[in-house]
Amino acid sequence: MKRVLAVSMIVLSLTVARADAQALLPLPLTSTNAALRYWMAFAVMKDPPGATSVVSVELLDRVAAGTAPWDEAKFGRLLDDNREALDIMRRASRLTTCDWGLEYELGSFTPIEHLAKGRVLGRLNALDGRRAAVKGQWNQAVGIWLAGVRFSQHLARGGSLIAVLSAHAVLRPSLDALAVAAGQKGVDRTEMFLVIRALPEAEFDWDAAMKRETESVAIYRRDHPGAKAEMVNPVKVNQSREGARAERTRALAAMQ
Amino acid sequence: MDEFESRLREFRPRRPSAIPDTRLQLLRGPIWLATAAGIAAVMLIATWLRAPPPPPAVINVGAALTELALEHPEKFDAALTEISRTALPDVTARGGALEPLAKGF
Repeated sequence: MKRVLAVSMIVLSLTVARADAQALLPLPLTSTNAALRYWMAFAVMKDPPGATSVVSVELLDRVAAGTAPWDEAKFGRLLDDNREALDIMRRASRLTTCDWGLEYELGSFTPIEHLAKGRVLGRLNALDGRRAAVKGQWNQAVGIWLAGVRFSQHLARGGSLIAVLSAHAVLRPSLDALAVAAGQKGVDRTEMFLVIRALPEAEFDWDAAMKRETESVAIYRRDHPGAKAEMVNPVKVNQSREGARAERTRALAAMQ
Repeated sequence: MDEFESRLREFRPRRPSAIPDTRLQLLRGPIWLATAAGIAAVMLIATWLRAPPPPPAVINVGAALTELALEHPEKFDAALTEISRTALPDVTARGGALEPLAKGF
């Protein structure tokens, strides 16, 4: 009997020791590339219904902007279904590195699916901020919209003009919402002011984007001699850039 | 009899001369020319039929979307929304082709 008890004690102690050793094992080094996390978020994301649905994209945007009333029955489920994707995105937005691994050598044919997915996730994020604001949780809403701002900066990283224009569409609702939130009682404006002030003057690096745009056109002309390949209208680009600059200035003024 | 045989041996086979039809002689050249032209035409048609169709015009999607984003932002937004639906489709979506495979996922 004593023998059995002794053996049992030894086995038990070994098992416990092994479990402790496993718990103490250092965690593997995690990637600091936000783009990889974003792709994980895109993978678990559930796209909102199509244009023919009652919950149209336009309606989602108006609700996110606060120009249409919040309807928990209509939009709550949509956000709950995307909770995991939104949480991944918000955590990733705090990382400093974001490399989408774009194939620049393809010029205009560089895949841009991440921009499409990013636009949809950004829209859902803005809507989620509105949900918190409607509940009176303004500080939580501010945190959500700030994640949207950081995400927009990552989305434009390393891309051509189309990346900046897509990211701008993600940024705008969050920026507008933050400007409104800044006027709410009890909202801490310090972080939002610092984040917006840290943005480039025209919100994105338009010059770098234009440089890549020029390179894309050059690659296209080289690979498709004789095909129509024109540069984008610089006047229009400047209008967009100046519009973005004015947006940032307005937002900062609202936060001071 | 011998004399008769020796007489026959004097004969030698000879190619008959051409029929002296001048009209046929005149037609010989054009007939060959027409035949050659016909064969060439058949070969040309056969080659044309077997040639692969011209490649479709390359559409510069990136440039088209960039222009759309600048000129009609709302249409660009709709385009991105549609692209998002087809990229990384939700395998668990109801009614989707992959739904039965995604059961329990």
